[in-house]
Amino acid sequence: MIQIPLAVYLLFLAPLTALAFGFFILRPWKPEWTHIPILISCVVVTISTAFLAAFVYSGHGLDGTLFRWMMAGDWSIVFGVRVDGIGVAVLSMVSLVGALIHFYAAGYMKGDPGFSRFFLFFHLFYLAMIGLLVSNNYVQFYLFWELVGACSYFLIAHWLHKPTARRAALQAFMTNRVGDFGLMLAVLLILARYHNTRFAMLYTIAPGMAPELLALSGFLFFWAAAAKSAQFPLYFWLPDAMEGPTPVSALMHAATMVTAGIFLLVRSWPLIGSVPGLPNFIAAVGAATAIGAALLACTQKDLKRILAYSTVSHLGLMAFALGLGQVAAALFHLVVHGFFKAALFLCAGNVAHGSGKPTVSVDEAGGLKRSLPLTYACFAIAAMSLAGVWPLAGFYSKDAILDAACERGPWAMAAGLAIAMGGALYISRMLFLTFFGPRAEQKPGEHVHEAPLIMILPVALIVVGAFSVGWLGRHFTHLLLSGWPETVPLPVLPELSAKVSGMGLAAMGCGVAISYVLTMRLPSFDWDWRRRHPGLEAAFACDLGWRKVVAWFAAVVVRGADRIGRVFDHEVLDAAIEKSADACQKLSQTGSSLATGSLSDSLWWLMTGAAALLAWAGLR
Amino acid sequence: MSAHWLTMLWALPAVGGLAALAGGRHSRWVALLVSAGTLIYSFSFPGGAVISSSPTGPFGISYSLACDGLSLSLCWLTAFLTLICVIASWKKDFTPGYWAAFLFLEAALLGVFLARDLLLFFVFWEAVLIPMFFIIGLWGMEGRRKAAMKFFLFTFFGSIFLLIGSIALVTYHHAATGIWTWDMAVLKGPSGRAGLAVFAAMAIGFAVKIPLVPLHTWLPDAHTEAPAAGSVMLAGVLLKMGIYGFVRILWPVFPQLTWQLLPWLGLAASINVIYGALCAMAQNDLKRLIAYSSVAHLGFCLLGILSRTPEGLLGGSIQMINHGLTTGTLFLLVGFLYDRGHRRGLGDYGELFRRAPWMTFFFGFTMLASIGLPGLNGFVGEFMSLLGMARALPIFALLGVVGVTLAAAYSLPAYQAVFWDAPGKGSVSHLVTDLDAREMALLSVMAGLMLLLGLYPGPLLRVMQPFLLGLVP
Repeated sequence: MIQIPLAVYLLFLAPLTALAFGFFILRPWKPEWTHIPILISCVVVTISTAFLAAFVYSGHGLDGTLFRWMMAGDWSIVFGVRVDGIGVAVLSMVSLVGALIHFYAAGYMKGDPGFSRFFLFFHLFYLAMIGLLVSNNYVQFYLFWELVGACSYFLIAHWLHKPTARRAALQAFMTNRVGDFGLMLAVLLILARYHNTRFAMLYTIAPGMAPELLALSGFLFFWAAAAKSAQFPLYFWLPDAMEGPTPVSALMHAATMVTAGIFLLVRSWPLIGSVPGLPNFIAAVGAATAIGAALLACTQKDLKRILAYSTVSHLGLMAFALGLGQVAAALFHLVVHGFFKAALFLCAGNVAHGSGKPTVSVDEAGGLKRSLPLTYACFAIAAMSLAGVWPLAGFYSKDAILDAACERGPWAMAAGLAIAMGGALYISRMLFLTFFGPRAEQKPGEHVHEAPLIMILPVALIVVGAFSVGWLGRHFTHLLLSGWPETVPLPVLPELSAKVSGMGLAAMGCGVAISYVLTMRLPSFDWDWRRRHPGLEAAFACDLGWRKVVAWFAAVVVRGADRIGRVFDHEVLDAAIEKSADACQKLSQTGSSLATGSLSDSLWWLMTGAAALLAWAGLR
Repeated sequence: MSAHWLTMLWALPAVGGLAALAGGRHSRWVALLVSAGTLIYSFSFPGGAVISSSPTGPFGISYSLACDGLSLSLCWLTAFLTLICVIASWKKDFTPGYWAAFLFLEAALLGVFLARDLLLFFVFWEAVLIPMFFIIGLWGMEGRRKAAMKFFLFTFFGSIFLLIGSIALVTYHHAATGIWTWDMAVLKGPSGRAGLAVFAAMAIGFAVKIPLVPLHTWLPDAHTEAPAAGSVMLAGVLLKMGIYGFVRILWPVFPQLTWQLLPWLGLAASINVIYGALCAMAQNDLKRLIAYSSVAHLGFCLLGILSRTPEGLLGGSIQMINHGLTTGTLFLLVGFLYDRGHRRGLGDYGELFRRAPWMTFFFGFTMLASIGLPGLNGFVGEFMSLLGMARALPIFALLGVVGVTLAAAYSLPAYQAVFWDAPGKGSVSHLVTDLDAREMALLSVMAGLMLLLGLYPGPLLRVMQPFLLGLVP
């Protein structure tokens, strides 16, 4: 029997208690207080996580069972916990950033009519992600994976009166379901064959698995991750999902949702990494996603949409790193990205909050650095971190990936540099367009005001992380390798090399310079090309046509269902069956018209029958 | 245990039905007390097999009942849903016949799940039709007459096959062994062509009840036209009779044949899953939509029990209970909605989250259980069934997972149309008020059970296990 530390129980019990208390007591009684137990729970979870991080850092690990969930015969699926380097590394970021976003949300959502509902779903979302990170088998992982999806559905649609929000929520859930298809099928296949999905067991089984099963389940895992972590071809739901309130976007993009897919790949890496060709495929898809999304981010006008495409791009970069075999670098970037992306989203939220709108486009921004000085400072630091300015966090994590790319070969190097340049380009464009100016085309609101303290302080704290987390690289590696190590040793973060860093900084400089010229030297450029080339803008608006393909596919399914469900089932099949009843009735009417009841008729029939029988007997 | 204890289980609601008929104004109290009493009484049986049997009569016919974990859990479901139905229809001014019909229905259903003699089983099987026919035909919606007739004729048509098959089975068994018996546990089917014919006849009888595509077209009409409580019993319990017949009779009687026919039956079950989901996607009427979703869910049950692996058999069986709970709750909710707005169309409502937040909550919760969100009950049965199939024939598991994906595609848009979207012209949303205390209490119990069975199905699985594990080859 393994001793499970109290901190592990607290990870579940604190949020569950807060949710139960909020739902059963505060929601009917004082809905505007719902956030109080939830914020307390966030603090408890963060402290527990810090304890667990120290626990793992000092060389401990944990993989234990809590209770049996499903069983049949001698076989069962358990509910368990696994506290190891990988899980805790991500968990530390998720719990800390998530908790700070909770505090921010308490300010941002104040006065919203759905305040209590929002906080309950928000915290359940957080709980689901934490559960996912400490699951010890795939079925339990799937439970939290789906729960994350369901919570995001209700949170994206939080403002139910907005048709776009409702549509985005449906699209997000359906796309995720299409991805879940892969996860569920892979889990079923592995479970059917090996009767076990505990990660600890699987890691030892994986090398000896049947190659077909290995390849198939590896691919299916990637398919699932592509939906959750917004990789091509299933990325399109993520930019639309920014219809939800800003804290939801921040939580979803930084901490709780999209990182789940990358985490699935990391968890399954002993399996995926041993499929020949699959890592290269993942790297290629990741690079394509990253470059394409960076390009699209440069063409977007809505602030949150720019950031959403930026998330897609960074997730692509993580997948790219994973595909190169750099698990540690991918995870490190995931953590760093969590910090700066949360900060960027919350700053965008402050801009929107200051302008009194749910979301702001660059047309309504410009010159905001005067009216929003604190937000501007936070945004600028987080943006520099994203772009990879030395010595901010983004520099270190990106550099580790670039290093691996340069070792792989010229193509990977070119892709890595293109991603680095693209990232710098779109984020500095956003910075310049939003906070500098205003330009002739921009109409910032009259009374844009700075956000209250409860919305500035969490952002500032997250920005501290976005600034400094990069220096913890060596400790991060140590965390990953200690505790409950993987059977397949993880590659460690590479040491900085001057050549690679120089190239990365040069690419970043290029991106910033280009955006500086296009936004500051040619202030109207962003509006000019749209006016001159409406066709080009339309192409970018539908993501170079991919959105049309998806819409066509959805329409085909719906029309097909309509054909089957309404036309075939009702008008053909059911009609035919009902016709058969009519036919019976016709037959019986014909028959009954023969039964006239008169004695002579009956006698005639009797004699005819007898004659027929005799004739039949005679012929025999 | 004495033979009569089991008899009392089905006789209690039957006698109660007679009392309700005579009860006049008090008949709904009779219905409430008797259905509650039956539920409590049904909990007094242990999970192990209890058999009571009389001496055999001519041709080996005997009055024999048996109750093991599988029967018992279905009896619990029947008794529980009957009580729920009685409470759900409480406020309505029904004639004594209505309350009596539900008690008679309960008695017949309990008889089906308890019978061990094949002929007795058939008698109860047919007896179920009569109260249901009246429930649909007398207290249903506008198209009730036609729907009741269609329901009766369609299922009666299936029953004829079942009867012919049963007689043939017993006759063949006598020819082979020289013993006349109708005991399900003893009967063994003939081999070869004859076996196939007998199997097919009985399978058609059960398939109409499940219902298996293309024998399903009675179901949408019957569910739609039945009163709310009638739909609950229809979807919650009546459909399970078909699956129960497969597990209880066909599997032990034809152990080899079911194995050989697995690809065909699996194909039929997979078609059910996908065809039901696609049909549900195309519906505009909430009740029709839920009815078609039942077709899909029962496909999962069949996929599970077909696999004949421990997890598949248990998954298919627990899916019966889970489907009874979730779909029953969905029909209850639609009934509550219909009581207020007198419409069932998706386009007739909108923005109900403003006027009826609790209804929105419970509908959303139940819908998530119905589409198999893990942590709620629907997932356990689906997942275990598909797992069983993944071990037997993985291709059908794949089709099943496609069905899981499609489940969201018909549930969520319907949910959004009724509860979120802006109401269209002619909407009756303004008539809708939120749930009252009685309805809240009912739905809270259901939701609590969904959560409990989703996270901790172990005790129920253990109750069902003994008989089912015996079917594993």
